[in-house]
Amino acid sequence: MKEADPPFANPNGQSPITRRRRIESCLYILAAFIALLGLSDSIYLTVQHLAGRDVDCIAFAACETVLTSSYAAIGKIPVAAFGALAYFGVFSLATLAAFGREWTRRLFICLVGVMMGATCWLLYLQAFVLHAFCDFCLLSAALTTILAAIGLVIFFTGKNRPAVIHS
Amino acid sequence: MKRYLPYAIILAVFLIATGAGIELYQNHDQPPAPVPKGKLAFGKPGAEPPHIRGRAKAPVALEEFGDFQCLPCSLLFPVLKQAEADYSEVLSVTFRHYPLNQHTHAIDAARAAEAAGLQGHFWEMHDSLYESRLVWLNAADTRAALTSLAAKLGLDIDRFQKDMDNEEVTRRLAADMERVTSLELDRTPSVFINGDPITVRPITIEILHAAIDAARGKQK
Repeated sequence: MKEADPPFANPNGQSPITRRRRIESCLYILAAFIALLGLSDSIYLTVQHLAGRDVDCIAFAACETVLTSSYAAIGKIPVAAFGALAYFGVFSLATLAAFGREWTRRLFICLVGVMMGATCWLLYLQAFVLHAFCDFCLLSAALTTILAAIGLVIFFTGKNRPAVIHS
Repeated sequence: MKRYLPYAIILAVFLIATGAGIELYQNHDQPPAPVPKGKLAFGKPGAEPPHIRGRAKAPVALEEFGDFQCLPCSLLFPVLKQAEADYSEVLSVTFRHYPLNQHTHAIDAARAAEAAGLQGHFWEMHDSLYESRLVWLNAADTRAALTSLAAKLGLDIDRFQKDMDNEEVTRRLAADMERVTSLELDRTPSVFINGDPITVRPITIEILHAAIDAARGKQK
């Protein structure tokens, strides 16, 4: 089954579908790079937690309050480990999508949505329960927000996608 | 070939991430936390994770076994705060519960501190308990007075009241008491610096300064 470009093309010689796909591919590649940054961040936090070492925060002195609080782990598993898994998932799905695996699109959007929800919860805990912030957690929140924005763009471009013509 | 390229990339990232994680875990470039020696080396570990104020990797680790009802503990409180301010870069302070049997309200106060800890506010409650010791001690209803302190700290009161009798709180207190018993401590406050007990009473700021300086000197 092969998708065929519609007969109409823009002045650059690219059909709207081809253009849209290129934009989506760029977004997926961007998402993969952002996920790699998030993966590094969460691996660092996970390892420091498991090794019982301090995290060298720069901007917020109360970093330790967050990272040693009862919210920093679920049972014995640091929350950052779940973040690492999620970022690796996003990286994998974005890479597959960038290579044209359409079936990953929905999974990507769902995973990013769940991550954004978790990020909001963690930000709430830092702001209103612990009254302390941690640099690395805020970095992760920023990265997840960008991923969520990419997910939204992909979601809406997909909604307006023209019907696929099968030959 | 191109068909398998994304899987190859994902596998490569997985291997690199795992390798980097293991390498980071084994990397001991940070100075290790001071290892308890002397008497403390033989004690049971106490509640995990402990309540530590200051940097966990600080070269000087002070461990206090305290009781919120005891007068000498409340007199030591401002002294410790002063030492923490004077040695903020090098000193970490760990608090362990040692509510004495004869202090009938000490257990409730310890439970209040732990319940606040479950909301991430152990040290605020710790400070508040010492600062307003006479208020909750002289109150007709101790628990109500402790709840009032929690309210002043902005805690979730329903949760705080439930957590006072929480199993986790009971387990943490029992773990600290096991540590007390294993170390054969017989008084509050008992203070150790890098595992060495401070035996002089009362513990003044000068004595603490000297003990902290001595602990730092030994590491140089």
